[in-house]
Amino acid sequence: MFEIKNVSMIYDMDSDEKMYALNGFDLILPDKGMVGIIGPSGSGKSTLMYCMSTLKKPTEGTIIYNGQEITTLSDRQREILRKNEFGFVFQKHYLVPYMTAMDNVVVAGISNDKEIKDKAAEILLALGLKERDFNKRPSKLSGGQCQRTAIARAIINNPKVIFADEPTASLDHENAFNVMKILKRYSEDRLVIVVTHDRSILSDVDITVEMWDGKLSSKSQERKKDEE
Amino acid sequence: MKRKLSALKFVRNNKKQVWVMMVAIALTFMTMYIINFLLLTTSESFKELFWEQPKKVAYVSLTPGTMGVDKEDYASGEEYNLAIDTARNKIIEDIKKHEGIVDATLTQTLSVGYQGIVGDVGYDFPLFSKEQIPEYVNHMEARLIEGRMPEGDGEILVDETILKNQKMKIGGYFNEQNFGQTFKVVGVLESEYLVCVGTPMGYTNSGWYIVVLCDEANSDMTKLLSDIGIIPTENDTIFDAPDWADMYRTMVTEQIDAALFVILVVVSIFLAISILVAYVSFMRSRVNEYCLYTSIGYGRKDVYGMIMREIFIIFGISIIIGAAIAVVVMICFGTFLLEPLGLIYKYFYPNHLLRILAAFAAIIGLLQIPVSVTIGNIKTIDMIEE
Repeated sequence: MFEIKNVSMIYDMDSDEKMYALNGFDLILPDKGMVGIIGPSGSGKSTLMYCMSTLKKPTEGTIIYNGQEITTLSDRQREILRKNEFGFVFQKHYLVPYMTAMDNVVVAGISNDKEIKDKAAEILLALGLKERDFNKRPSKLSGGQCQRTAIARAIINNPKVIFADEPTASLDHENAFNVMKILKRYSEDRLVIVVTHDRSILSDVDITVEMWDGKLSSKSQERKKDEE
Repeated sequence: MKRKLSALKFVRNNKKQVWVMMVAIALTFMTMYIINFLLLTTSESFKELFWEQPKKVAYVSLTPGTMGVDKEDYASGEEYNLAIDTARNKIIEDIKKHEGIVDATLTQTLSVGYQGIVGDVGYDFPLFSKEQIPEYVNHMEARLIEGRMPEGDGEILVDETILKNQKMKIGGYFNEQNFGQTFKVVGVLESEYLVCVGTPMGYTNSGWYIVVLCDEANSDMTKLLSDIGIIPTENDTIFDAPDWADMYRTMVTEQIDAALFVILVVVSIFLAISILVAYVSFMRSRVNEYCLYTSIGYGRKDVYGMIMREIFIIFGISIIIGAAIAVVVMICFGTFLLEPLGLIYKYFYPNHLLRILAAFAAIIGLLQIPVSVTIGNIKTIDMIEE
């Protein structure tokens, strides 16, 4: 599904000492499964995810998604791609504070109101929220409920890829485990990319991509070999 | 299918914030319109007097020179005065013969005041013989609704609006402050043109005019006089339709319009500043929300559309609320303040309403500045998290 070739992302392009967030990065990912991208802070894992999800444009290199080069798309084309094909779970849930849990899910929907509300209800129930919580605002929900609502928002359009950036960072162990279980379930027929620095939550991933200084670490390849 | 970002969600879910803004806008709209209503009541009340009454009656006072009488040509004052009377009578007869003239009479006049919400105006009315009064009342399309017609000297019929406005009553003295206990109010007229008329009481030194009862087409006395060979100069006094219309324009409508424009501009500036400050604060508190939208696939245009729809909803509802409050306030003002003062008013002034709406449109236009700046500064979540 994703073919990343020689991608570099340089910050402070104008300064003498260029900072490489990604440095000639190559990676190929399948259509489905759960991919964990792990690495220390500053290793470029979030930058990689944002480049793949079109939120950032790499300085050089190509990212091919389903046969289409996505780094050269216009802003509008990237917006449409994000809306129709991708789902996002961020480190903080970024729920709209004045909207109910239901509205926070519906806001990302691309079909008509009735259809999307039915689907949102179905997903929220499947993710463990009670019907009485649907009309609660984020301030009245627990951290775990907020993150599950954010996941519901991410999957409301049944996206082909979910990008999850540190989705369990603000959760306790139990909630973190539950969130990963939901994402794992979704990855049975879709691609889920989880960026984290917490190795303990990656026990169930199908592919682990370890990063170091903007490059693929040798460990990730070894691990893949081990699993094969 | 492309879904729009709903503007109603913010409006529905932030009732406290939105209501504060709506109430502020609604009250400003209401205040603007009520100020218009009250000030325009003055021009509306004066309109009949300045605009309509002179189409039926004109007052002319000519100098001897204009009438072709030169003092140098006469040996005594008596001869001179006689020559003036003769020339004036000739002119009156010529006026009477002119097309569209019902009657012309040399008579004394009295003046009466009419107090508006801002400013007042005084106008003259004729003192005829009691026999002439029914003809005048009939010509002015007035109707006696209370009291009786004048039967003796110094009896006055007063229009019901002026009666209320000047706090007079039947049996009371007319304009006692100026004329003492000389003239008595004996009847009330219902008329379109604030008609007053009465009989003289000796010589009151309040003015002598040729009072010309005319139709609208012949209400220009300068033209009428030139038709009969008299060319008025600036020393002559003529109160006719063009003269009153000119006074109405320069002394009433232009002054009130200028005052209303200044008020509108000042209020709009204050409203614009408060709305701008409130909106900047609104939008700052929602930056993360806008960033989320662009991150999950909405375009900046979608966010702009949502913000503008929110603004239109808030302004639209506010203006409707403001208009509803304004109607109630106007009815109260009309019933309890303007009617007892004998002022003529109406509720709907389309041009001034459009001017207020244009001011609100300009404020919405000004809001484009913070909205555009906010839209330009929208980041995606990745940039916030960095």
